[in-house]
Amino acid sequence: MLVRMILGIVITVVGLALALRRTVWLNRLIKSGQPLEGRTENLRERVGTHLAEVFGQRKLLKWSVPGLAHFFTFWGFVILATVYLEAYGALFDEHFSIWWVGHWGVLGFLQDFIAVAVLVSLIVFTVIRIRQDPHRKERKSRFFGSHLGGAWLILFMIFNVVWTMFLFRGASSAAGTFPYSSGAWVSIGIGHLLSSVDHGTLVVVENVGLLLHIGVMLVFLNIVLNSKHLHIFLAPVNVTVKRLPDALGPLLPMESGGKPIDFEEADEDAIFGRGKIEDFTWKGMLDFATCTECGRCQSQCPAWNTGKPLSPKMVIMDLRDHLFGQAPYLIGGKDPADRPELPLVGPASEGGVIDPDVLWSCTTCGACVEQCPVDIEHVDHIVDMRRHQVLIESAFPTELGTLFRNLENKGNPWGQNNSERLDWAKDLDFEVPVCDGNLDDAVEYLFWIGCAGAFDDNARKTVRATAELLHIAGVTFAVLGDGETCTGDPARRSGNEFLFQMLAQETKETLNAVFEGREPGTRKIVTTCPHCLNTLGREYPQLEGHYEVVHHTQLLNRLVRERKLVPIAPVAGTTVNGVGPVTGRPLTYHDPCYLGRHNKIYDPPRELVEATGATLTEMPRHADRSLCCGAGGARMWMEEKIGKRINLERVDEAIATEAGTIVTGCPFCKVMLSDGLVQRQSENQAADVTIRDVAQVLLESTTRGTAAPAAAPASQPG
Amino acid sequence: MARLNGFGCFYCALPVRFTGDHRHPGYVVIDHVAPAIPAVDLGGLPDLRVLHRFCCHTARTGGTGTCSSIMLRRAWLGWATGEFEAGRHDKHYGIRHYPRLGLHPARLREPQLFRKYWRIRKMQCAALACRYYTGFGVLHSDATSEVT
Repeated sequence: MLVRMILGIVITVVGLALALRRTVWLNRLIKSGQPLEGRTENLRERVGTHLAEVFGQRKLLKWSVPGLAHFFTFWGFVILATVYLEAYGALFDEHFSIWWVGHWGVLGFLQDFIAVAVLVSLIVFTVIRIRQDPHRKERKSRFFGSHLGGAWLILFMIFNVVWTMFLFRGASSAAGTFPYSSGAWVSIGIGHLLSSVDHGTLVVVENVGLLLHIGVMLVFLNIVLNSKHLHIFLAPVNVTVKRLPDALGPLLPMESGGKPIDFEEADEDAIFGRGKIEDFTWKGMLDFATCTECGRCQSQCPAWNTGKPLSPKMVIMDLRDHLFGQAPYLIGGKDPADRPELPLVGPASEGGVIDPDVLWSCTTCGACVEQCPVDIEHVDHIVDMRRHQVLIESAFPTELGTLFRNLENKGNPWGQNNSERLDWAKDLDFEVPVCDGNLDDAVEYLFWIGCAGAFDDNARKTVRATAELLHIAGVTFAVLGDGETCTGDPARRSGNEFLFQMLAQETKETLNAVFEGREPGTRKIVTTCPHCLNTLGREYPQLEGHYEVVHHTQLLNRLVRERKLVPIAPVAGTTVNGVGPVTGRPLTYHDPCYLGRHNKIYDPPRELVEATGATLTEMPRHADRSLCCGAGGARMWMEEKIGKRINLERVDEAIATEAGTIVTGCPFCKVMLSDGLVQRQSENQAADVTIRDVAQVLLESTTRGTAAPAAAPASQPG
Repeated sequence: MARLNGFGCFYCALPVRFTGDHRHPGYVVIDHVAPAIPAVDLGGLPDLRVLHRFCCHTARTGGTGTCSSIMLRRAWLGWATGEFEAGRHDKHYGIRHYPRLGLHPARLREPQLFRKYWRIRKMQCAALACRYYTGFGVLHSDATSEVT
């Protein structure tokens, strides 16, 4: 008894001392990041998030099988803490039991049940890892690029925790020192198996089992603190201090030293984006240390899935490895003067940590953020690195130079003259009111056309359809005409925060003049562009521009519900939304990333499609797992030279549903999908498939009973 | 609309000043912008443009072809305006000096960072110009005024 107590105390002191040393080091490293405010506010909401995501495993359970396995493993760690309490108590008193509940059979049952559940989960994890073996599946495996040896070691250590627990408890049960007389079915069962062993041997087995159980935990603790499995301790913290409600939608303002940068007052030594690893905030560093390399982000990334070098997981892993490598220069240990000059973004041949092709492949679709079970903010980090490349290094894809010039000089990405902004309305049979100054009191909505709606032929059809529907429903609206300029979204996503600020300031002042005198709640904007929706509604508040912005599908859906728009169901022999016979093919809906994942608008467009009487069929990747069209993150304006084109991947998925029409709710998605479809049609595929906006589908359905428009030729999308 | 008030400079698209000191870099000038613009338009009328006094100088010496970035043009104007407001004579911010926006590599703490400091200065000066001349932001070149 005395020997096991002394041995137990010695190994605990050594194990905890090593763990404490590593913990202090990690704490200093993460705190060396730039300051970041606002991550401990809204405590109530944060506690709720913590409970849902840590104890409820909400995000992990999105993937049912591995989610359930992780659920039981997590709760195993929580419940088996009571076993460790009993183990440490037994070091000092062999008859130790937890106060009040220590003899309660329910607790004993729970301990044994969860331990068995953990064992089953380990088998599940093993099967998943074998089936997803990256040596065999290569890029198709979500574990491609992850540290595989470390993962197997962790599974082995968890197995050791469980079997040593049963050895110690079984021997204890047989020796008569076990606190539970019922409930702990496995431990008591093992005790029965050992009942024929003499008492002296049982005591030795119990001592060995106890010390092994404690020793395994201490070794495990130190392995965790020195491996990717840091997430066991850091994930609960990372989840609690995440952006609320999530790191999607608006981008964060560019900050230096914890304060938003005022470009006019910017210090020359201010931090513009992230050009060095120490430029990241403590939250960024916490993100890097928390990544568990599960690869869920990678499995959803449109760039990775089309053969591009970007994997969100590997971006975070590379930044973490670089951070840990540079740590001695950041928090002491090595002379900073000896620090090698390595570019954070640069080709590997120059010692770069993140390859430029990786950085510029991101579409900012947010699939990685949506899936990440530990709430890593991949998109923020990628855009922050882009900011430094654009603003300080002036290193960006050449195509972006044209984009920036067009935005600067013409106020739109196309470089068109603003005088053409109203061309879409030329052939309408009613007059579109143009707001020149203050919005008339009788006008309910400002209809924000957006650059795509104004200049792209395909998007103009959407805007026209929406305007017609609003007119039919009697909604009063006005447009800004040539008073509109780009909201700045493409500039911001491509890292040109300065240009975004300039464009946004102008637009904000224009809108403030338009809505002057209007109370909050009456400053209503409707737009057909999810990027404008996101920027006007969720990013302009950062500049004190507050408006109520709705997507046209939301407004139209409300009008349909209020019976102000009445879709007429098709009759047999007629067409459904201009394509095919009624008995023919369904429609499939493509979720725009900035409408769906970024702003959680999934249902209104679907309800509208169904309201027309058409049959909706879903693509395998839809709603929050929808595949990007490839246009986000200013990728619309860049060449796509590596791998398969993302829009082709998406069009192929849509064609495979055998839908006759692909509907969407974003002008950029429409352009990308149309380009992809045209290519496939040139290869003699999907000849009778068309691409349309939800508003076009609804308009045809609504006007079917009055003046039926001619069905669009099948070979002409849009 | 608020942003359309006043005349915008043909070169940088920011509003020009009609009042105050005529030596101010932002004071209005109506002139031909040679050589990019012919002196007369197709109708035979003089093709005159509204410009800032400073922009007129830079457009004449550099020409519109040498700098297609409106932000850089604004940065130059912003720097000149800042220098004027600080009471410096225009020989200190004139045509010989503006491309560097007042930065001299030899006088920098870390001369090798000249490019970085210049880019930051460019953003500072452009932001200053936008705020100074519009009170908030920017105008775009096709919103500028033409005098014929």
